[in-house]
Amino acid sequence: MAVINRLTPDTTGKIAAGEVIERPANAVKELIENSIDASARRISVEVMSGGKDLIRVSDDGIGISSEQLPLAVENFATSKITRIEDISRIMTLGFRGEALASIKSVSRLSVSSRSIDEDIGREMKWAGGKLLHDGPVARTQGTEILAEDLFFNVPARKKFLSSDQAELRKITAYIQSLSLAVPDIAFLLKSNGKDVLSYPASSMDERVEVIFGSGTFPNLKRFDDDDGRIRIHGYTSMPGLTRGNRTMQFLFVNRRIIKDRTVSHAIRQAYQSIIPSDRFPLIALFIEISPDRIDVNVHPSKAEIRFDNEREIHSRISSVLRETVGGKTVSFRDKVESVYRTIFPGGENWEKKATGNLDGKDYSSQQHDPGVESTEHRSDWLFQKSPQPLFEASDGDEPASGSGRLYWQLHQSFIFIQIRGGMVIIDQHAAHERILYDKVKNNLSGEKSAVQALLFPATLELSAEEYDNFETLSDTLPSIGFEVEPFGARSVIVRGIPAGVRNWNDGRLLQDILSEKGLGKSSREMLMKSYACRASVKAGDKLSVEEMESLTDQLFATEFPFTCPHGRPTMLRVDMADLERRFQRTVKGE
Amino acid sequence: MKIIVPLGELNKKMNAVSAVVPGKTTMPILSMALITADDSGISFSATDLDISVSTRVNGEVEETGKIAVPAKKVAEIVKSLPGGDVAIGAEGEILTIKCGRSKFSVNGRSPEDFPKLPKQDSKTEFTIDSGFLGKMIQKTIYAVSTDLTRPALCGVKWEADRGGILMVSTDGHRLAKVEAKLSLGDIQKSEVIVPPKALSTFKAFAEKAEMIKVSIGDNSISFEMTDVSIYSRLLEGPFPNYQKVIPVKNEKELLVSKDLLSAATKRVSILSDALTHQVIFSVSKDKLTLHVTTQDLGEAREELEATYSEDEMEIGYNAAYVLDILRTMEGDDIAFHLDKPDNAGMVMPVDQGGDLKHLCIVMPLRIN
Repeated sequence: MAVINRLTPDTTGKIAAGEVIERPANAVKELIENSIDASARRISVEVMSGGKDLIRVSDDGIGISSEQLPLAVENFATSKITRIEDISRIMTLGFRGEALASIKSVSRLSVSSRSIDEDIGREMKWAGGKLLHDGPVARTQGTEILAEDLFFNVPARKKFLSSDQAELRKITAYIQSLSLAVPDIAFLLKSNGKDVLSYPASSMDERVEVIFGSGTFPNLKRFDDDDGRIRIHGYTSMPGLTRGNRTMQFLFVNRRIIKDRTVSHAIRQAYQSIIPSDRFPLIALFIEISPDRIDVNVHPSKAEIRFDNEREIHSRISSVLRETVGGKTVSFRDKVESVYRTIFPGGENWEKKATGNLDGKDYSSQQHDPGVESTEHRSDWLFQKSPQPLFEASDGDEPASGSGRLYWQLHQSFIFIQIRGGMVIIDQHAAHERILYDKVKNNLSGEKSAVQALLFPATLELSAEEYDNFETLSDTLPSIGFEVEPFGARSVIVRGIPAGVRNWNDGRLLQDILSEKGLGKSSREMLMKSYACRASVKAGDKLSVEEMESLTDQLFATEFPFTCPHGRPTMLRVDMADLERRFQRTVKGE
Repeated sequence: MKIIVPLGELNKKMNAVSAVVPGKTTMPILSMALITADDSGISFSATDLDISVSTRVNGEVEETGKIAVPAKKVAEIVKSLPGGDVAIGAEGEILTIKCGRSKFSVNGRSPEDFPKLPKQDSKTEFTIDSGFLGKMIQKTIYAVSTDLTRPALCGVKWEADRGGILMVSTDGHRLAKVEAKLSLGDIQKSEVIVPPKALSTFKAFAEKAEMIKVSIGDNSISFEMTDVSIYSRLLEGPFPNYQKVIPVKNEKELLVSKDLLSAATKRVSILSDALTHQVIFSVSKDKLTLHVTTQDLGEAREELEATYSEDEMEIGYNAAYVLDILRTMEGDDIAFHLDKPDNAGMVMPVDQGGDLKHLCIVMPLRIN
């Protein structure tokens, strides 16, 4: 029969250590955090065999005074808090007082330190928690911690460590992330005697550039939202720059690296419809918040955190990012405008271009008045700058109305537009999807929708599933512009449709939307995307010159003209220089 | 075959038939025009299988015969010739064109390959003034639908009987109807749906005022002018019951100058939404105010004098629809017959003039 024994302090120490120190990277993390809390200006880390054989962290911080050194390695001994209430005020990274004690219990540990107030330091050594050496040492100010043979006395743990390379990668990744929060601290990492990384003390911009790479840096955008209580700032990538995973997402609260669902979700939402749903933006995000509004003592690794007002944090992150990457910020509009101007050189308020020509499908005028005035006018100012049109007027093979020179449709799918220095190719479906998506989104967020009343109301007979979806969405459909009412068993009658919709197809459009699988659940976003996709022009739809022109103008008036709601690009730009290179012409035009 | 045709005549007629030739086709023979020279004269024909056009050509027949020729190429050659008479000959499947010192030999096809021009299955025939018919077409053709899922709406419905002819078209958002009381003789009543391409082709060829013969069969319609005859297939119905959507209780009458309203609508719609073209009509005592407010773009407003003495209200319309109506209405003033802002508006010219009765219905563009 098993006997219940009180565990020895040695055993409990090892068990507890397991929670904090799972692998070498955790030890490095704890030690670096201590150094940062000790106001170090320079932290160097040295590891052997991925930290399994040796971890040495030395700093030039305030040091530990001789008399306090023994205390520093005791369990729950810390300089950072004295009472439990202090936890709600901590600005330091550490506070639990577990780190050194944990490392001590699972390794051969030496600590040597000289405090700022003393002339001589003190050095102590332990093996598996047992004191082996204690004496004075001559050294510079600061602290050096050396942990050798990690887990030498916990073989079970040691067995589960990864390869040296993998452990080193974890350490490197950790130092990279953490160093973002403290750009004014220099970091050096050596592995088996070789430099792995070396960051000089620098400005935030410089540190971000080092971590993200100088090629990437220009595509990051700074953001800062500070209301005096909560500051949310950092750097985030423009829509064209994404990753297939979250490895380049660095999240900090009060300089602490965190993992948080609320924050991740807010980022995701900000980029929704701008980038593909399986891609992730690159971001360094810093939240500075009064410590009493967060709880960091959720888990020993301190990576989890609770905010007292998650919702506020979520909406602030989401909106500051949204503004930064698109929409309302002046700079992005400027960028869109500059692209627009390259495509359509000419004066006037560019946004006005987005509207204007009334291209009702007037059969008789298309047939008999081919020289529609607006097109002629447009072609004049466009060609002033480009004397040699790439696409000559078609010789009657394509009896398109208008000039046929500026906009050219390839296989009734792509719109080619000559611009100065090259051409732009627009995917007509993706472009129209973006236009409709933006429109519907505005409708759902309160902007009024225009409803074209039908002269002959359409009756649709729905399947059970479609009818379920109709019922789920019956409050939402009107805000897009559908006027639908139940009409007997599983039938609905449509009296009005969104104005300007191209392919109502006598009701098939609505039926297709309602038959979308899983529409009921995340109905709004799904509905928006489904509507945008189904109501937009398809590959294979022939467009008149006026329609191509109007589509292009409307695209540039949207919030994110460069991607469709699924995150795919709407347009490509091909420069003459590219073409010349591909035809192996020299730059001088041989 | 050997014929001689003055260049001007040749150019005009060749151009005319090549307009019907489809731009792209999987049947190469359809890109051909058929030249026929027989005892009754010279004719050129072309078809895209839906529409066929044949035109009589003034010229001299020296030797009868037939050949199918590539229409666009021949039209291009003829267009480039310097002047004078053109001698056209055929030897087997080779077409020769001689004019001055130029000579072309063009590979043609056997006339046997050319699709047989369909036989008219005429049930109803009448003659009508081409200009008058053109006017009726102009007032209805614009409102046809382009939604191919309802093919019947993609054409203009004709109803002809001894008392006159009626044309109506609708795309589900608006409707145009024109009715002419005239004696068409003792004919059988017929109701058909005519594709707009047939009507626009007719309009393109009907350049002089003359009496033309219209023949309507079960599946086809034809227009016979002096020089040209056009034959077209009809669309299949049923056409929706348009009579039940023509409002009967629209008792609020608004009278306004057509030209002023048209100019004002064009002006304010400059700032209308690119997708919806919405313009709001506000009616009040003897006043019509047009206004447009588009987010991110701006506002436009214009007041017009009008005659109105009913309740004040606001109705939204698609400016393009309104402009289409105004463009096709006769006379100086037009009358809007209104009901509630959510209901269909009916528009008519104040002075219908002559034997035509024209009305349009436009559904409002509401803002939710």
